Amino acid sequence: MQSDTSQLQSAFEQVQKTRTELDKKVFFLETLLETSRELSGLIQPKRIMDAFLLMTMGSLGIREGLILLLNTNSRQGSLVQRGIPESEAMHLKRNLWPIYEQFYSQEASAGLSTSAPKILNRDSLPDYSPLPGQTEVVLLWSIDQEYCGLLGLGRKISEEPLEEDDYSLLSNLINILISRLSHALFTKNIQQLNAELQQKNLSLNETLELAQRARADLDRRIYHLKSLYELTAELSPIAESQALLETFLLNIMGTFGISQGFALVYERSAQTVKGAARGTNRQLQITAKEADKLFYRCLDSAAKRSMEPLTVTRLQDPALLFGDLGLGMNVQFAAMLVVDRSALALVGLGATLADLPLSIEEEQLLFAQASSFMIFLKNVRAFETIQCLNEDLTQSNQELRQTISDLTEARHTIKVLEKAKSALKSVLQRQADRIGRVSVLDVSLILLAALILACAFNYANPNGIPVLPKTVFQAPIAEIDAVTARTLQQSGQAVIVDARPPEFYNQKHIADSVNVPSALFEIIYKMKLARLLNSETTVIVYGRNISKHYDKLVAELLLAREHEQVKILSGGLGAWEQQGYPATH
Amino acid sequence: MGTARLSSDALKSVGLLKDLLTHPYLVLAVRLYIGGLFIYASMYKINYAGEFAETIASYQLVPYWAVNLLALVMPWTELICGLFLVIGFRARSAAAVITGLLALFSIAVAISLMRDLPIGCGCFHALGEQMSWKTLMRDLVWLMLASYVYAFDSALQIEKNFFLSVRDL
Repeated sequence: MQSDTSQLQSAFEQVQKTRTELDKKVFFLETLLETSRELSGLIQPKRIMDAFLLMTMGSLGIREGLILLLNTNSRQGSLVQRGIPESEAMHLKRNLWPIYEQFYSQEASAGLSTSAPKILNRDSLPDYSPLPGQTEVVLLWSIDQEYCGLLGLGRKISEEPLEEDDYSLLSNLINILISRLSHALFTKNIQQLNAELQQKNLSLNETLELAQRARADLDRRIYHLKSLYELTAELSPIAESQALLETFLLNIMGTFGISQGFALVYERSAQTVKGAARGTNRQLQITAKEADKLFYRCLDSAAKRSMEPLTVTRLQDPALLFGDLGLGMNVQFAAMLVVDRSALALVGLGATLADLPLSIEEEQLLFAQASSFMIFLKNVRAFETIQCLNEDLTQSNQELRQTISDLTEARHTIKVLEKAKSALKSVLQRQADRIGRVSVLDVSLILLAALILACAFNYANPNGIPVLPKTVFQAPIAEIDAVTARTLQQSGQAVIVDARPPEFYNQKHIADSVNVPSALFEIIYKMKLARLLNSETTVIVYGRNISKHYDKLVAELLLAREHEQVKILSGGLGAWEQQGYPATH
Repeated sequence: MGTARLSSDALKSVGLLKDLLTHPYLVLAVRLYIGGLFIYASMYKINYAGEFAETIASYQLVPYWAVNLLALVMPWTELICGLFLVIGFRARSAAAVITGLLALFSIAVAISLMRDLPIGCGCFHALGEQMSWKTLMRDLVWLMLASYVYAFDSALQIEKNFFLSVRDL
């Protein structure tokens, strides 16, 4: 019986022992389940470690415990501790990496697998360690290549050492922790990746926007460059400043969609103004003096008062500035162009078709176009100056040619003059030689001069005489011979008239003849002759010599007195005396 | 010997007399006289050409168709030659023409005197005194003076001075 009792007791004890073991196993399994359940809802590694530490310490009845999670890449870690004084905890936090180096660098060669944690009890722990002094057991584990961990536990509350089962439980618990941490870290990684992805998406979107903006900017730049290119292409073949100005104005108005505008160029040195206006029916007419004043006003209202060559300046209050130009346009934008010290230009533009002010980029484009225009204008001016110089040169050449021809002509003239001089010299020589001599030429010249002067004076003289005597042109008068005359005289049918001057009559005359000289005809005719004559009486006139036909003159006068029977004695006094007829001395 | 001295003195006297008679200023005086005389004589004839034509006609030496022409030209010839003598321009030619004219006048007067024409000489006025041998003598003296001028004139001839200046140049 006693043996049965002892057997029973032994069997009971065995059962008891088995039951205890089973209970312990159940407890361990429940702990594992509980821990697994507890950790499954958590995603933060630190909270997981905290909950795990609590569960582990609670299930094993341990007073102090800590968990370290270390990132080998970043050399950073997180610490969760329970029951450790604050000072030691701080010391731990500061010495995370020495702990890693102490435990893992030497353990790395031993091979640390992710599945089996390494357990170091009190005896196998190093003598000097940053870990708290009450640490009884250390479990080293690794999650992956990046993360590794350390679990340190102190004594049990019961002050009993940890048993084999406890180590087994710890090993399982560590596996759960590794699994959960791995999961949590993976989730965290995914979240981090997601966040990074979102961040990258955002930055991608921003980049896209920037790219779109850059593209739009690029398009605008291309348009501007194209406009500039077109302006350059249009301006390049022009060689005349007025045409250049008009083309420039037309081009910028077209580029910016502006309906009204004007431009003018003022040459200060030459005092000339060239202008062009579009979109208005009025002409841009401005004198050099007005232009001078206008540019002074423009300089006052310029954004920057600079007279540097090839600069463009925007003008303030353009409507006020150009109001008195009388162009009938509302100037919205104006710029002053300083080509050089002597040439200035102005550009005034009205509102755009969209009635919007010019943007900064458009303004920049306009300034670029204006700069391009200024360069062309400078070239054209230089070209015009060259043309002017060429013209001057041509004229100078012509003048030079003229001078040369004049000189040649002068040389010819000099030659001619020299010839004339020598001729004159010889003439003078001859004349000098002639002074002492009488020449036929001199006499002829004296006579010729006398003839010319005589004719000229006689023509003008009121007492002038005909060059040839009247009798030359008078018709011949019927003549009568001396015999018939004598018969008629004796019969009393005729009166004989002596026409010679009284001196000759007194010297000798036909007997019974009456002296009637032509100079005294009127007096003698009235006093004497009229009484002797009637219509039947024949008047016989005589008296002529080689130098004068007195008879013919008197006969003409008698015929003019309507005496029909007027005859001239043929042969005169000589013929009379030849016949032996009487003559009185 | 005494005769030789005498003849030498006489020769000297003759030479002196010749020098005196042909002195340029004496010749100049005669030239001015003859020139003035002809200028004076031409004045009336130029103004009254008709009367001078009558005078020429009265000489009965010139054909009737040439009388007027001669009456016009002769006074101007006298005037030009007179002026030339006075100013000393072409004096020798003028003296020659005047000498010729005076020779013609003298011949005409001589012929008229021989023909016993009852006319005045008409040298200065149409109504001059009757022509006489005195008139012929006067004309002959003038003719001699004109010949003298023709032969010896040398002073104050402007063209001579002018040509001398030109030669100097």
